[in-house]
Amino acid sequence: MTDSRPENSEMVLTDESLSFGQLAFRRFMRHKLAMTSLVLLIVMISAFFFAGRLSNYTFDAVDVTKRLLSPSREHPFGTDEIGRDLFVRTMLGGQYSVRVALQVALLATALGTVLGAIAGFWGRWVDIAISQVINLILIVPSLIVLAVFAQRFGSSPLGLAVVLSALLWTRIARVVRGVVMQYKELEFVLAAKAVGASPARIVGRHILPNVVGSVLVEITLLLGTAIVLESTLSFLGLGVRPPIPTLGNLIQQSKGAIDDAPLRVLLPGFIVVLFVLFINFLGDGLRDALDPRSKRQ
Amino acid sequence: MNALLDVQNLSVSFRTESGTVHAVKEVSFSASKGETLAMVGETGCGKSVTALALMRLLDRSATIKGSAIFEGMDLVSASEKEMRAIRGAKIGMIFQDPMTALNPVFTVGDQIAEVVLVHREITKKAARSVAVDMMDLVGIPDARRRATQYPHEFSGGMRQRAMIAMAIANSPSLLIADEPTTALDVTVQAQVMEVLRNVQTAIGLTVLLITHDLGLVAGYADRIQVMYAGQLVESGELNQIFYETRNPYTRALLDSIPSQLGDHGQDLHTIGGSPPSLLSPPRGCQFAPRCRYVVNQCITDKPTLESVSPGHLTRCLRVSEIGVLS
Amino acid sequence: MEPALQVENLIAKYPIRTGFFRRTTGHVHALNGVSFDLMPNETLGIVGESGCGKTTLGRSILRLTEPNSGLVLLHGKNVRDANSRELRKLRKQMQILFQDPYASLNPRMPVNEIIGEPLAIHGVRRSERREQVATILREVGLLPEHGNRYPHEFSGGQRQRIGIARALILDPSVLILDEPVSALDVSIQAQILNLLKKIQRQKKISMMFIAHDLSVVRHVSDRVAVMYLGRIMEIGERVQIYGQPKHPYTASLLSAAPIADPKSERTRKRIILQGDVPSPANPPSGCEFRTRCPIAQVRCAEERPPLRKIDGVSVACHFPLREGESLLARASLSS
Repeated sequence: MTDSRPENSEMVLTDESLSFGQLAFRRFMRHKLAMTSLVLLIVMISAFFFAGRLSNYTFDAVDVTKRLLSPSREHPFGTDEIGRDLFVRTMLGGQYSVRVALQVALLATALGTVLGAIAGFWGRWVDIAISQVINLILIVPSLIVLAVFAQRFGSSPLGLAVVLSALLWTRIARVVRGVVMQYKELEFVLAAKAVGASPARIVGRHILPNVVGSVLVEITLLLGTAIVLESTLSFLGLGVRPPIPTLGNLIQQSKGAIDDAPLRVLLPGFIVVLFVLFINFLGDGLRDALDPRSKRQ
Repeated sequence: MNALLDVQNLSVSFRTESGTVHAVKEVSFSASKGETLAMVGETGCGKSVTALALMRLLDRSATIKGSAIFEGMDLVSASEKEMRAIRGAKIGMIFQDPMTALNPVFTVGDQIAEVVLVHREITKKAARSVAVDMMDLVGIPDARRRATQYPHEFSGGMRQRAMIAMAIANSPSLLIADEPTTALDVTVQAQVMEVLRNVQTAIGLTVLLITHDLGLVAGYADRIQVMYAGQLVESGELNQIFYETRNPYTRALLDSIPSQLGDHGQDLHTIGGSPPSLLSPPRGCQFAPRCRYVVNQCITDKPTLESVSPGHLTRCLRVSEIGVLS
Repeated sequence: MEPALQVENLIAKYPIRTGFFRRTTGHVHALNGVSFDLMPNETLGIVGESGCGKTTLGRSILRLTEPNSGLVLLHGKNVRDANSRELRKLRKQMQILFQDPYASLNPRMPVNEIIGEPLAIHGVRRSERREQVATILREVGLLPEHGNRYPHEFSGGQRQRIGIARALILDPSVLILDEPVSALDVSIQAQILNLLKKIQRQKKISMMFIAHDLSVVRHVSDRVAVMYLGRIMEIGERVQIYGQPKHPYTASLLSAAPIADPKSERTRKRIILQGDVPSPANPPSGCEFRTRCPIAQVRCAEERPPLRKIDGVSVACHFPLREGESLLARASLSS
């Protein structure tokens, strides 16, 4: 009895066909911590951008008669040394901090993906060259170098974002390079080559879609790092300068009041901590969701 | 009965995201001293899971039921402490991929010696000496020097021999070999099986050979158990299974092997379809959807293992009608 | 008759780079001068154990990895000298099927796209592609609906069918199969082998069937080549290679291969080779097989035996087995 037809019992198990992305999305939804963090992050970022409108005050409205007030209904976070409403300032600070972090993510990912893919795919001396550059940047004590560059170029949010990206693209590049090198050897890539696909097509259609997952995880971590670095530099006076508020320089401005009104100093820092915490949980959830190991049906 | 190992109604199921997977369903068999018992079947039939269950090497998502009496002790209900005393001492196990079974950062000699040290009260020096003796026994040339080398300095065949040495260092009475030659080249495979046979005769070892390779089985097994979808479908002596099979799956399996002696040019016999889901097994006979001899009763009724001659059991509702299949 | 594929003296060496500066400390000799012809509509089986170079051979012929030297002619056209445009055209006529049904399909692409991609690359329009993909899916025993699914939803055997569909869609005249059934269960293996046979009959393709399983190769091949450490040791008609091997390695290989028949297994006398396969980074001088050959002599270390034709079979051995002579007999004589 010869038979090369598969019988109907060979039909696929699920009625619904799910792409890899859809499967990952479902798995992500099951990760409660990540989902909660995502929701809270969205709430937080929305607050940064919209909650300020609820107040009657602007971030720079000075009123010396209302210095250093405690939190009240008028001023939910109180006021600072020259009477400015701290709630609005904090929200705006959050806005700028997040903006810088997102800009860093964008720039670093763009640069890192391109260079990482080139290094991973071409190999040989191109890879050696790019890898050594990456190693060099990683060896250098980042905060010190950043401090120098930030002072010179980083007084505006965009400037700071550029400086931070120049440091952080290396992380993305490393991840991309690793994944590209791994996938380059897989047989389905060879199959595409055998059929006549150009290197551009191979990298673009076959390798990069498989890179997306790992890069996404790395981006979430990058956002956390970026916001901490931004806050640190701005606190040191080397990053974004007043009058533009960021969570970092808000801490700096309030630091004198640490004995009288410690909350004023701690609050922006606490917000940064929360942001990083949520972002890390999100990253964990993404990593678990994208792990092909749990893809058994 | 001279049974060294007596397994009764062994069942293994796993809790997974999608439900309960019944990997092994009420399997019973026994192995007598000195014989080579082969468990054969294709991927997913449950043969490896059975072996891991006997050694209690499955993780917590697995539920094991039934009994497995070995030298008076029930392996299924034994405590972890009791099992630790058995593994590596009374029962040895070798695996398919020797590279991952050996630790790359320790020398081969040390790893064999460790197995000895764990189970015996002797000095390190004495243990190392035993290790070298074992390496000699399995035919690793220049054993004293090679005991100081690391796994990556050994070839595939040598590593497999080292694993055998590790498994028998404490003179176990039972050796479980899970696909011992699948990852080896065919000429090396012959060497390793030769070693295994010599060792078996030398220390009177009972071997449970788990494999999908019927050629290997033809050369080394005394008795065979054929598994399909977690169940035992036929069990008997070597010649009974190969030449007088009474089970349609066994027959179909034997037929689909391209033979070195048979006829070129003919299409191979195939088994249409694919194995049933272990999550939701079919109502009647597991093999019915793919069986050449299927009738309506096979879809609704579950066949049980029946004896067709002394020592020869088969699971088929139509066993008396269809007789010997060749 | 013109051969579909001609390979002459193909050499592939990979440098071993160690140390910080990645200095070349040696070479892995994957292919050490391989020559053979593949005739139209025939299946040439290539057998050998690990390190023999059979996988490198398949990939070098297609220029998936570049060999160092040698000639590869596809229907008379030079493959190694082709520029990228010419190569692309040549690739339409020569395709490959890989071993691992899990790694050979892009998990992110639906089956339609996987199979249709070769057409897209060669400029076929989307509407036409859809039709051709549906046709070929049926030919390999799948349903057109399967095209919308993703690889992870299929079993190993089905994935190989998808791989076959992709390899065939450009209608090649030469198909290289690199261990196509090694990762499959025996019953699924049989299905795929039957399918390949049917395809060859219908499309009149030349196949180069690379495998390590001797019974599978015997079943599908017209001629068989036996490789060891980067060279062909013996090549000839299937019946001759299996019935009357001339090279001691061929005889040892056949002797070691298990047969699923207890009576033969228990009665045959086996030749068990001593030692391990030498590393391709350090092949022995002279004949590569001499370190494990039961009948090796002094000359075998000094002079590398060329591939010579004897009684219709090409053998690379100074002392090939004669008609009716068995390796065991010769080996016991010399000891």
